[in-house]
Amino acid sequence: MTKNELIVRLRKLHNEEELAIPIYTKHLESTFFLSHIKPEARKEIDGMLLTLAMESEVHARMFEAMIKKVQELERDVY
Amino acid sequence: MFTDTDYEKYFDQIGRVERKMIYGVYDLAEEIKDPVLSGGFKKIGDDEVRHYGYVLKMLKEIGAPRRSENRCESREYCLGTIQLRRSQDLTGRTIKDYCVNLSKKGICLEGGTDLSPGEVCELEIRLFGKKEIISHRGKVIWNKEVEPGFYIGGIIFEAIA
Repeated sequence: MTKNELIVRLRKLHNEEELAIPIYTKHLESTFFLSHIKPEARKEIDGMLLTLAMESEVHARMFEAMIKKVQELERDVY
Repeated sequence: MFTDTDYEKYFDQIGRVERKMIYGVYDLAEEIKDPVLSGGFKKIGDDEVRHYGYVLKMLKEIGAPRRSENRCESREYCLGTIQLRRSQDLTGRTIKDYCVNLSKKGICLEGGTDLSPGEVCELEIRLFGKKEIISHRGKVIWNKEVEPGFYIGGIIFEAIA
């Protein structure tokens, strides 16, 4: 794989992580979201959605760092 | 207000997002020669698999009426890659797709391939983290476009003679 091909793939993964974050968090502030289920279950689901959002942010930063590193290196074959 | 269908659609969308991340990262981990980068991608892929586990748990928590409940045999969520050959394609060309879940009788698959119900395909399935390849031939039962250019469908395997 060439440097440019790797950067394209990394950018795609980075964008997917960034686009996922608002999907995870979009209902977290809504009073009506999951109002029909038990409060404990809702709390657990909110916690999992928050974890997904936070870890996606971490992954997005990791991909950003990888893109920067690969761009800086002179190596062309991966 | 939200309906049960809204919830199921929402969590299905999240599941699809996670699966696409798993496919993208594991594919890259396999293709890349650099062991350090490959290891990094595998680790991120493992995180995404854990995330997908959360999605399945959330679907269970909301009591989403899963289509799988109507099946005669339960399917395991087994993610992996598929090399698919359409029987009508005489060139023998294979297309890459992804396994969403799998049973002895059939498979749910997704990817960029728009399959037609009734067409016959040959499949070589390799689950993530496994080396062995599972081969099947089967008929497409359903297929739908869930995002532009991204399809999900079901194939029933031909009975093993």
